[in-house]
Amino acid sequence: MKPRAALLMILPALVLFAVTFIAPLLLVGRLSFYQSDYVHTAYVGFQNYIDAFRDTYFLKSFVNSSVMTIMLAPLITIVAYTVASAISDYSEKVQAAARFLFYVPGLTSGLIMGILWLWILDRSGLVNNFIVSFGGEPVPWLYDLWPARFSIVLVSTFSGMGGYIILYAVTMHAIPEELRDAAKVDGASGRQYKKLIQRPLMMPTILLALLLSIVGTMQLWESIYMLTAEGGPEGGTASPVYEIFLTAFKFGKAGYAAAKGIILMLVLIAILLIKNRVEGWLRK
Amino acid sequence: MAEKVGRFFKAAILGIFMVVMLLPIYLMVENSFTPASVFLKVPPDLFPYEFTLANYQRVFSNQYLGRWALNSLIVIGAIVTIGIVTNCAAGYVFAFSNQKIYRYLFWAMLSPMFVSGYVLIISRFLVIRWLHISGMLAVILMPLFWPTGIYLSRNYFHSIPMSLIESARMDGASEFAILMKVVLPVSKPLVGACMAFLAMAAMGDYIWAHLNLTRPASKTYLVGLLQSTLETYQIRSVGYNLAVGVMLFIPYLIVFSLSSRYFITGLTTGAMKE
Amino acid sequence: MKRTLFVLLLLVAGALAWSATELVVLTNGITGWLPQEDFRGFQGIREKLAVDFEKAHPGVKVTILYRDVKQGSLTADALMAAGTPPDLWMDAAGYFKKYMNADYALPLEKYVDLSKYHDYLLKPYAKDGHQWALPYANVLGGFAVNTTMLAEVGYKLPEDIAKWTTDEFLALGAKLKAKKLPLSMVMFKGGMNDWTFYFLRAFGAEMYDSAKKDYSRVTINSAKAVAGLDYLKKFMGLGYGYPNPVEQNADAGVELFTTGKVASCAMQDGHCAYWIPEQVKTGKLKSQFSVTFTEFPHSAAVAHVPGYGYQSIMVAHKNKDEAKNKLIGELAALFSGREHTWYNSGVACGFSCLKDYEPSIGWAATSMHTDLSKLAQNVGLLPVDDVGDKGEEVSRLWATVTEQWIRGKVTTKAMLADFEKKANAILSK
Repeated sequence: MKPRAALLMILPALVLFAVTFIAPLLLVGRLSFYQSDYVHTAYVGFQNYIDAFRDTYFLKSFVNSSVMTIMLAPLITIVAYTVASAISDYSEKVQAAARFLFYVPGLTSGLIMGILWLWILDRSGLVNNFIVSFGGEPVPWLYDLWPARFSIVLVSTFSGMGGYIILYAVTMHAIPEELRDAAKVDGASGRQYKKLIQRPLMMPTILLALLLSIVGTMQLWESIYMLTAEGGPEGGTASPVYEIFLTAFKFGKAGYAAAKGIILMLVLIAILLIKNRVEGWLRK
Repeated sequence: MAEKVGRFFKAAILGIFMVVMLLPIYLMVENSFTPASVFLKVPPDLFPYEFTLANYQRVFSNQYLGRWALNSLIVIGAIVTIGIVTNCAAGYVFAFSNQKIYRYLFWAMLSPMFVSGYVLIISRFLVIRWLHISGMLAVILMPLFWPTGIYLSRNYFHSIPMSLIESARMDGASEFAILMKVVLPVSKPLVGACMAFLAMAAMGDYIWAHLNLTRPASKTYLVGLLQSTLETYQIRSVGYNLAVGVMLFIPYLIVFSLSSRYFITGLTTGAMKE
Repeated sequence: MKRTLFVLLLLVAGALAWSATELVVLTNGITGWLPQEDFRGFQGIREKLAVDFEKAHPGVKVTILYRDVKQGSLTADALMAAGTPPDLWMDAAGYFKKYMNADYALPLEKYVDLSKYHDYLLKPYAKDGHQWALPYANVLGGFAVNTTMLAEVGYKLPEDIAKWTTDEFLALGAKLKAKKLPLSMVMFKGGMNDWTFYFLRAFGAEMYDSAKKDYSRVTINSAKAVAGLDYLKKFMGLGYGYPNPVEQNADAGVELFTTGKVASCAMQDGHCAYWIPEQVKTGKLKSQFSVTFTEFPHSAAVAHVPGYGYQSIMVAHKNKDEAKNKLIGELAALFSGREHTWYNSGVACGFSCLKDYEPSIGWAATSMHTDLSKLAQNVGLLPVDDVGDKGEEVSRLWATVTEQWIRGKVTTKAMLADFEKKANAILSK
């Protein structure tokens, strides 16, 4: 391909990249070395970064997100995988319908669904009614630390499940027919096929899903805001993005928030690099 | 016999699971037809305890509703058309150019996925103002750069037989013409997926649109409706909020229904061909 | 391509339509209690007044921007950062600390007739001989008591406030508990909320030394606060508070009080005036009950527990163009004038900031409203803590430690000592 043509074709995207990402990122980077509330600005070098590493709320937000990811990732991966695997045995039409229906919950606005979830998870809400009718004790879903974290995970599962099911279902479907037929010919049962052939081939997809769920949870804030305002019981559901938002727009510390934003970005990139390493290692 | 029972059980469990997953949506739709003020009834009724269209009447009484829908259509139209062309053009370059610099640029262009919107929002606002861009143009501009689209299109184009491209080149077509007239027409699944994703991203942009579109008549559908639920916050009317939720949900449902085939294929190309 | 051109054309048209002088007003999106009809077809009173102003000043356009309360100061910060601050900004007083100075604000005494406003409401926003902000809405709160419920146990509030003590409060609690009725709200969702802080005020404890206006340190680590917190624990322990404090915040307090489930709660009269009839309408309350607004009971340490009040204020951005400054001043006077005040009182249960004008129409005509204003006059209000953004950080810290405390994870004295250390660190930066 001719270099000049290539440059011309990539130019629009490049310009947009510069304007929508590079320029703002450089501004944020620069801002992170200042103490600023947009009215008064003072250079402080690395002080914001040092403060961020000592900021218990900020550090805790990473712990919260990590914990919620650890709760979410296996849950959503295993359930989505199982469901995808289960529906793959049906006809194409049924599969398409199922994929469609499972995705629908993800199309709703997080801010509006929050109202419903508040009601469903309330002390005398839908879930507790269900539990009590079986003779159990109502659970303070939104008022105690671990139930609150689980509630956020639950809501994320509902909205995200469809996407993961589709991801897995489609990738499974894309496994070449020959492999499936060869397995049948060799006398492998459905279960054996799924365990010995399908799963290893799905590894890259599973890792991708894992990465997506980590990145997503760290950037989550809508459901957290609606269900467990003020950082949640014992500050246990605040996410890094929520902290950055508070720092910038409630405490008016723009430079400090910028530094935290940069730190978050570096953490996520680090996770991406780890994922690539793990993937390379698994291939061997 | 055991197999049949097993299959029945599996189907039943899947069915129950699906019902549970769809329950919140059903509750949202059902209660939007009730006069629920603040708290919803406990335990919930399967059918509205008092059926009313008042919430929807209130939604439609928003004097700017039509304008908001029109604004959104303009924004979505612009983002989808310009977005597909620019992002696929980039994907094309990354797929077919051998220059080393583009390999690095490709990964660099994926980095926005790791930075949250809130972190950059004010800086973006500043940059846009410097360029003397504001209002609707600013709202269109931001979602136009779409890393996922670049990723998907590059992967998809890898599977296009080079022979097609070579012959077009021999016929003297420019690279851009090849993209528009040769490559894209045979990439219907990709284009469909891009349209769906871009449209849904454009529809879902709240914060940026809210910041840039301040006059009541110029807001987008999402911003206008969501704001109407927040404005009279002391008269929290859950029924109205859910009706708004349904009104916001319907466009997404339509877009998704029309393009679900492409959506799914779009995800395939991303996942398998690393 | 066509669509892009269309969009570009729209924008050019929009830019061309921009008229000679434009005044930009930024305000929060909180409107009144009643549906849109009360604003005579306008989106709100400000829109109506804006149109009046434009008619009086041809060639001038007034644009009203709404700040989404949930997004914090995002809109304002973006405007500031872009170098386009709003000409007039109307909002809760807490946002303005860094703007009330000669660098940013227009000294309003030159452009507005200040003699129309209550002096005590102007004072907090004046400095160095200049009036940096104008109050336009005054909200008062007190301690609401369901006197119907009290009558059920044969109790009447003492006429002499000296007898309304914290011990008396406990005695009342016992009477109500015998009938399985909770006396008061204790709200700890996300930490101790402002209304629950009254339990500490009853013992003379304060977060800052407001009398000396010393906001460089907190004064809450005191024997008085320990006494207040111990009382609170005792109160809860005896079962006089509504159960599960960790699940209640102000919203729950209002809901529970207005549905007759708890006998008292700190709040504003607007909450009652609107919600009690609503609760009856939706069937959550059988019939309306009598409400009075009084002081929170006091311990022997203090004679009174003042009510609270906060103002919404407006700050104008100074301009090089004197003619524009005059216009802004006029607009400020309009948005804090009689018509706006009427809506604020009659529709939103606020109190007037204007001398000699206290509307008693609409919601302002209730007995609760007069109770509150009497309370404010007799007992006074809590001083407004002028701490700005740092105050938000301290509040957050307070919320964190008090939540740990109510869950029994830390002792009272340890909690206060820890809080003092960290809060002072924040304030000293």
